[in-house]
Amino acid sequence: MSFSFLADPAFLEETVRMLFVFVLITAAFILSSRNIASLLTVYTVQSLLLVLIAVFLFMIEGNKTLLAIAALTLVSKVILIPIFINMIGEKIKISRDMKFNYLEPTASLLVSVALILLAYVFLSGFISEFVLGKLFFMGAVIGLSLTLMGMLVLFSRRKVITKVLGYLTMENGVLLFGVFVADLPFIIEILIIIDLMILVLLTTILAIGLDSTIEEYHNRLQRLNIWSGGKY
Amino acid sequence: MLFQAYFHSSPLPNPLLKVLLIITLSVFALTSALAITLFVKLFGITFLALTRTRFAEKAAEVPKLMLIGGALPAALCILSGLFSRTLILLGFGVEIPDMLVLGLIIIGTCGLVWLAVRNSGPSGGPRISKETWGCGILAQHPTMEYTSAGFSEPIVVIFKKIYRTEISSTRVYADTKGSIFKSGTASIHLIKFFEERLYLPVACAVSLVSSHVSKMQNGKLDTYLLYVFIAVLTLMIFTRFFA
Amino acid sequence: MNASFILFALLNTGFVLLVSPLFMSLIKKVKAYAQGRKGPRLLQSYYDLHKLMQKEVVYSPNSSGIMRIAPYLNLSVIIVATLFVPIVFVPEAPAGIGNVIVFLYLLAIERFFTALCGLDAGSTFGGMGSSRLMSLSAVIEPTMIIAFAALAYVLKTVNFHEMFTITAGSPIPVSPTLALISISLFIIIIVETGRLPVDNPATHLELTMINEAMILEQSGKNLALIEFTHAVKQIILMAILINILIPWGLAIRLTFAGLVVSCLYFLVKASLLAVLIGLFESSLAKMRLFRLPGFYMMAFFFSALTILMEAFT
Repeated sequence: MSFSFLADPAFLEETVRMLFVFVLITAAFILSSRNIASLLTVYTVQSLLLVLIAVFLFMIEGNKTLLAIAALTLVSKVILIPIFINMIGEKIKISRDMKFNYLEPTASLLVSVALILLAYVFLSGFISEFVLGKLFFMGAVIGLSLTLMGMLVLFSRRKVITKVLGYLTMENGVLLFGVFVADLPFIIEILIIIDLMILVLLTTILAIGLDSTIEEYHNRLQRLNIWSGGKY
Repeated sequence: MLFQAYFHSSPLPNPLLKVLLIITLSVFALTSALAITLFVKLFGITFLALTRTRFAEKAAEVPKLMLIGGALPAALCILSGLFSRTLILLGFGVEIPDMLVLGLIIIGTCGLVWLAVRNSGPSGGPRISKETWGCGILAQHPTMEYTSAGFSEPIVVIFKKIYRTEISSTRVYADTKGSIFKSGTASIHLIKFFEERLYLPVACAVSLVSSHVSKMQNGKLDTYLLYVFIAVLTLMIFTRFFA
Repeated sequence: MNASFILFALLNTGFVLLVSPLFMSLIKKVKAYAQGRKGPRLLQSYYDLHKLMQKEVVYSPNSSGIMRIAPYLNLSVIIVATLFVPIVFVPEAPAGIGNVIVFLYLLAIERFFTALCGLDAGSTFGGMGSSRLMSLSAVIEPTMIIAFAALAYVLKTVNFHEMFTITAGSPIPVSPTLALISISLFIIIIVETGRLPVDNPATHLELTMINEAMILEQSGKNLALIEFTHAVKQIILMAILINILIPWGLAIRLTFAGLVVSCLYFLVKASLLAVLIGLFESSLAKMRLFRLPGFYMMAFFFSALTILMEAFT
């Protein structure tokens, strides 16, 4: 069995389509999973899938910026940000996020299907798929759907750490959209990474306060209940 | 045939039409599965096992001629299903699977299986026990069986967001502390979707508007004289200052 | 109907009837090893069936004719369903045998009669099993239809015989979408055969029974036929997954060497799939009954995404 079919562009396109499905599945898991440790793993898997999509796109297109984007995403979103959130998570022992605002998991999955259709209809009014190519149009639709599903996570989950992961999903969606639609210059990519870092840092600062001792930080955390999402 | 049409819809050019077909296909499949559940419940609760109410105990079969009225459509259903290929080919040129052949194969296999296992097991035929095993309870009682509301309870719970079921119960106790139960009623109430969501709001809005309007047309002579007076004053002011 | 089809019917059905109890024991053995014990020997299912055949059949006085004919009817419907899934070689399919929709409804007939048997004897367990089974299978039905519709979209045919000819005939994978569909098919296998996390096939506690509750009243050779039906249903669903995902080795033309090769290949591939199912079962606990629609909804989302990908391109 010769492996030359792996370099066939049609086969690569089909593989990228398969990766799109898995990316949306990870977003669905973030929407409906109750276990916080698995939420972080799912986010890591999602970023890894994005790296793979960028690599496959490089194999189809040949644009070297894509490799740079892939490498940067790998380092920052697959390695650094999860380590960072893990460090925070070890100090605050929260393990489950049980309650949902407005949308139960079953209904949110149905709403996600509607969102994907809405993204398709919306984008087909602006970007004609004959100009862009079917794969790129599909990528833009998936990127927009990922952003919308991240927004869904923001309002339907209670705990702050899940909301942070939802925001990070939105960033992933914007990245995916940009990779397929725009010529993403490298500098914009760096700016996105920086604002991600600022977000995670800000949340930590809000939680810890400007003191730096661990005991005071623990007490303040217990009193204010910030990471547990308010008075609930 | 509906399913065949759905499955063959892949060459359609319009993607949104295909998406709509997929959504309706899945809802259609859900409907057909719920229909099978309904028939299990209908046949099982009505005809099988011990009778559940006094009325059912006294039920007697109707005279044979009345049975023909029900048997005739049932036989036509079965026959039109079995002979569907010949019926369709008479009018249309559509390829559908041949149910008659399948039906004959199923009956044939049933007979083969029966022949194969006929001689196994101890001789003397099956034994009829005294009663169904009830996990240690001595006498089987009709209240131990599943009721029809109990049968459909998982479906009601799974789809409760769609059906908006209300489960209401009242209890009457024999003592003041509420611990010895005397009697009670329970009911499961599904919303009537079109009445409660569509007709009633429109009807309430219309009656609200009409209650305001009815204050203006209430049939008293003085109100109409007041209207004429206001009209005369308005005309005077209008012609003097604006015309 | 030509001679090759009759030969196919005999060979296919004979092969399936012969090896299906083996795979039930294999899954039990894998689960036992995962739990640190040795488990039953591989031929134990055959001995169990033989033992059940020797016992007498006991009927409750409240049961009706349904209880007497349902085991025979179930086994014959499932045997007809095996005609739809070619395992040893792929013949020409006459008169619509091999149609996906008819296959799904044959499985539905089997479920219908098993559920009626559960209500027949008038015990509480039977009614509970019937009600749970029918409700849950109603919720999984859209996912099954969408998964098979996705297969029909990708392979452009609604007939299993033609589908297997296409997948086995091409030396390269037809489309990576088939990998996605096979994940949906794996979930359908778990649901239809009542394995963890949907239903525990080894338990007899009423909190956790769905399938076992309905067959609690059966005895003797009726129970043997029902257990056999379960085993055959398991193996034909596994065969669909195998022949869609890794079909190489399936003989398309009728030659003696081809037959032997495809039987051997099938045994190897099905053993691998059985080990995978056993490991999957050992890694999960049974889910709460009303959490299951959430799990089914995730499976539906997955199948819907697969078919949307196909529809949009």
